[in-house]
Amino acid sequence: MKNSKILSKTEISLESFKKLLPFFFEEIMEDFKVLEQLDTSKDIKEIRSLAHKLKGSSACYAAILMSAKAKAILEYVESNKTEETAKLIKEFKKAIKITHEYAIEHFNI
Amino acid sequence: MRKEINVLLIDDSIAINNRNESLLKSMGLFNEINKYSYPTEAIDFIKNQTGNKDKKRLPDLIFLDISMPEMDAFGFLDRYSKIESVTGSNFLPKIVIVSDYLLENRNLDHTNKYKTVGVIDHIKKPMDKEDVLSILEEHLDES
Repeated sequence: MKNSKILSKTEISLESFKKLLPFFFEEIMEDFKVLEQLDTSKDIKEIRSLAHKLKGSSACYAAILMSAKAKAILEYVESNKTEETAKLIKEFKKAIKITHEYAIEHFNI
Repeated sequence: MRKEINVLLIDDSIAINNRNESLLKSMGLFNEINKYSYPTEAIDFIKNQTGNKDKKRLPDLIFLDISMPEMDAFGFLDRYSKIESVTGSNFLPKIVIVSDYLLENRNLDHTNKYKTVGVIDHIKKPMDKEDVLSILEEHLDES
């Protein structure tokens, strides 16, 4: 996978970006903990709200892989595809891991 | 370009607020930047500042996320439009809606209803310098 598809610096300075990344991951992980506890057949509103937040914040930090997965969760949950949504939530967890490891390696967070 | 512009950032994501604050600071065009992840706290901040004599910390420009769990942008605007100390004064901050997508149809019609309380425009997430400069030039350039 190309690096630019995982995480790239946004319009802010590199120094600021590196400083803010740990807080970004902290919020993402907190939200994800809630998301993975939700029932994909019942908690549609909550999943939509959290996926929307995860998509937005990932996009703001140019965490492309995570943003794409969150967008897919939103699309599936809005189509009531419960199994696909559950599968994507698991994939999102992997995307967090990959992106976090990339951030540690390339941005020394 | 007008100096001393105060900004208020409202987004349920602290990470987004932090990133946008950093972006705006790097532009060197703003005086005070306040940020809130709960719209109700932003309402309280505005109420408190309108109660201050000098009103120095009141925002000139508000960037308002459209979708938030506690209260969305329209819920915020409903509450905000009832703050008489703001709407009844000569001072009305300019409000920009920030959304994941460019608004169209229903959402745009809905947004236009709030033009009288200062909603001037909408921009797409993630906020970038070009969008901010364009907002400043179009709506806050008083020179």
